[in-house]
Amino acid sequence: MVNAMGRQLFPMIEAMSSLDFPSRIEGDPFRYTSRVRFTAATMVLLALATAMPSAAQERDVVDYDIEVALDPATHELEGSMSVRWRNTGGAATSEIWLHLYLNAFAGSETTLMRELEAGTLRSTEAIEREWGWTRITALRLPDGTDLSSSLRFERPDDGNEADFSAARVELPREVPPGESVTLEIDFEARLPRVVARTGFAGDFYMIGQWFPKIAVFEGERGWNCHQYHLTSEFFADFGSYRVRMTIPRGWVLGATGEQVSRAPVGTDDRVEFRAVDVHDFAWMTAPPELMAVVETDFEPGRDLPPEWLERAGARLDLGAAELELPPMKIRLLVPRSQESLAPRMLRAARLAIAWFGLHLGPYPQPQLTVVSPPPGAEEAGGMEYPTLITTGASRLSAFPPMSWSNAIEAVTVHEFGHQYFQGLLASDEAERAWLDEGLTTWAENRCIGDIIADRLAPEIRFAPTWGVERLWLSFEDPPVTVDRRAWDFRRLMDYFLASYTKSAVAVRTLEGLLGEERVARAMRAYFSTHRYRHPTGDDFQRALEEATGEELEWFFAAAIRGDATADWAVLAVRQREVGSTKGLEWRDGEWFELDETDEGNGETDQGSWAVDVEIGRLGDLIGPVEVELEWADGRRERRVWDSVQRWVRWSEASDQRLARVTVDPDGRWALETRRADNYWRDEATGSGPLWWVGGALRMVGLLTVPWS
Amino acid sequence: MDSQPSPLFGLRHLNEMWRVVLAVWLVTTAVFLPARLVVLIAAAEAFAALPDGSLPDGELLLITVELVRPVWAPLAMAVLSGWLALWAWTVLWHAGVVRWFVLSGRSGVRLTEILGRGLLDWWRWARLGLTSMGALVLGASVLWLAIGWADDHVLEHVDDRLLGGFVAAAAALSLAMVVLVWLATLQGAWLLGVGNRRSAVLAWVDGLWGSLRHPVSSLVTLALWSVPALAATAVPLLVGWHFEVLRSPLPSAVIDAAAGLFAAFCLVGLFLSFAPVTGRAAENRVE
Ligand SMILES: [Zn+2]
Repeated sequence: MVNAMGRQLFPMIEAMSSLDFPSRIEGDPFRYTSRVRFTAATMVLLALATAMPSAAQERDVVDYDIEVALDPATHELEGSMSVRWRNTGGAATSEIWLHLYLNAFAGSETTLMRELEAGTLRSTEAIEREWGWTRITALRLPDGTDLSSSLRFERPDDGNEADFSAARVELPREVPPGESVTLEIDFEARLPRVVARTGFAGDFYMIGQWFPKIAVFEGERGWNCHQYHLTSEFFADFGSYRVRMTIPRGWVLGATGEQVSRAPVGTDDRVEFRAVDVHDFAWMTAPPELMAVVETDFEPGRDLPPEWLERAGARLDLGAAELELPPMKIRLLVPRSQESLAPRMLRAARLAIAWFGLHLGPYPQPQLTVVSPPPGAEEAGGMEYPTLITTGASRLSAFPPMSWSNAIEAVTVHEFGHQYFQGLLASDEAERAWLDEGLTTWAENRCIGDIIADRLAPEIRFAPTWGVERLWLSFEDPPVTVDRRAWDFRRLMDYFLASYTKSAVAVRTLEGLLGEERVARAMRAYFSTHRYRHPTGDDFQRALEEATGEELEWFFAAAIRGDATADWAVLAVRQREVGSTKGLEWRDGEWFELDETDEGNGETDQGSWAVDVEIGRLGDLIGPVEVELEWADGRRERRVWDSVQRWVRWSEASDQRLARVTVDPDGRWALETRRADNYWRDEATGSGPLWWVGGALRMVGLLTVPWS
Repeated sequence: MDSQPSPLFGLRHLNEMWRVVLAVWLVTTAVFLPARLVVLIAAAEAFAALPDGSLPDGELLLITVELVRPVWAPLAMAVLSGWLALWAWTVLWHAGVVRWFVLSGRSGVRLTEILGRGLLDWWRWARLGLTSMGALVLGASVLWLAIGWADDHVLEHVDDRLLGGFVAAAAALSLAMVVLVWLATLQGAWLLGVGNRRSAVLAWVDGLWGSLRHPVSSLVTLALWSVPALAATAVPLLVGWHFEVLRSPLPSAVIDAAAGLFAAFCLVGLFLSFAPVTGRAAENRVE
């Protein structure tokens, strides 16, 4: 698929180079790309779609019924579950693959722990020998057939024999497409001290990836079951969960879905939750002395900023009725020591619900649970599970200058963003983390940008968005590829640069090239087409192409699947005054001496300039770039250069000198981080923005005085 | 009463110290010329080509980092050596002024004499400066450990309003520590010139006690001179920030020079204001 699409790059380039450059282009300079001809591709897709299971079936692949008890004395879980799995892969299979992700915390040599050691994020020392593990104690079919002897651990990603986070079980008979099989599983688990996402800290329990979970069957491609990695953990099918959790009496509990019942059992409480249309189930519990529960709601009439409704309507070309959002419940579980921050967390959650609902579509779940981990459990913060997110805050966030930062809003908005880009558009996080993290980071920056612009969180004084995002990107060295398996980057930092920063900046660039409105509409279309599915990078590209009507293969091949860098520059500008010609002139078959009084043509009177402008492409990304020429009389013109060649020279005759040349004057190419050479000026005056250097150094100097 | 610092004393003796003021101004400007030069060479040409109007989102930050990154090592070296040179110079004129004030009864001040005396006793006053830095590091560590301990053991259980008080107290304590170390250094520098004292540490400790014994006059003197000095240093930045016209080379150079001269005036005045703590300087110099 990739190669076939790669070949389409060349007709595109031909189309670009056949354009008549230099030409002055009116209106949107980027609309010259040829309209996409999708007929053939669409036919193939339609044929494929009819053979694939319906959306309703895709949403109902798994049905979990789990009974689990937590023993805080040992940090152990004891559970039994029954799971019905439906084969929607389009081919028969006689095995089932399972995530046993708590085993990633079983020792220093697991894949996760090796990645933790190699990375700089977290340290395995913090686990303090409180390792986590899980074990299947019984595995059978409903008719009693024992399958436990056929259980084998698998290491599809790295072959690490010390990793036990993925397993395969043989079934006695094939499950044909459309048919179901039910497994009955008993399991035990011990939760680790929280060093990454899941585990306990004191009496606080964040319980994620805790039950044997069925992986994704992709038909002819086989089972997609990755080991548990530092950088990825989510890929599963949609379905329903009914979970009964036994916890100490009176403890608070937050979980995926909604509470159905709570009743005392012996000295404990038994709490039942149900969730539908989700692909994972996580829960959190703690004593009420530690964590408070705030039950509230999102009420669109009250919580939807009117300016957002208006702006979204304009961006998306939709009326207020089409942008209507439903009310929903919000449950916040917050450490008692952070209760003063609860209003700010709730405001951030409401703004996130409003923004994503307006721009992508209403959030379809009836309840959102927000957990702020207490001190000591910070590693559980900043996580996304279906309908349950964890944020992160310090109590000091309530006081200046810490309260001036947008950290609470950024984390809350980001994690809620994952309800869309992961919770509903359930891409394979292991193989394409950028579809989760990059699109979420893009949306987070947009949402925070709107919050700041409309002063909806007035205490924020410092909110880094695109400027800082691009600054991070300028540190990629060598260039990173966005579309890459999450654990397969040279450095952990490269994973972050590619999956968060570069992919978000790439979408920002598309906004620059195509216009914010068109990308906003395309994102909405992407969401409505692929929710409750597992969209790939190609799906995302196709959604953008269909919604904008532009061929974008050249962009995705270079900036997403490739590592081409965007970099253009003004190479040189030369200006020569014409009319001061000296020497001989060939006239009527003879040479004549030119003298001062001999003015061959009268044009020299008003002054005449021969101007050469040379623009170059220093990066390997080939794409259209705008160039602005400003003449001495203030006249400005813009041209688009396709940058297929390494450089272009525009020779002009003008009665004016050229005053300025700017490559990409509007910063449409957010991906271009080397920008100093994009500017040329005829009469460079002073040192421009360096006026502050002397003063700043004097300030530094003042620091010597008290100690000398 | 005579052994307390007095801002008026400093003001009265500034006129005979005008050469020192000029020298402080010139040296302060000169020590950072290499750093300015590094920045200019790296960035001036590109910056000069930028348009005057608005730039795309985050552009200036991006370009600044792009241009300065390749020269960060020379720049860091230039800033650090400028800082060290300024420190060494401040020690020098402090030592020279103290020696001249304490030993000499004559009223004519010659810059060469002050510099000569300062050079001769430089190491003694440098030790005082190092003592002061050591005290700051020690104080900061203690404060840091205390805040960390409180964070681990106490703060989890306290009410948020108390927490706000704690944050404010921590900030105030940090500021108080800096001010106290500064005062002790100023007084210590003068006490080090009395008689034949050799121990910079003891002089610094005496300076600390002196400041604690006369907190009001010490603080008032420090505030009256240091706040204007600080403000003068900030003026070129604030003015440039608010008025774009004043960023062009000539106006910004004039403002920078004037502010620097005034700051030097204040710093010399501040130092002279602590001369009375020697007692002896006061009786010698007051007409
Ligand atoms: Zn994320």
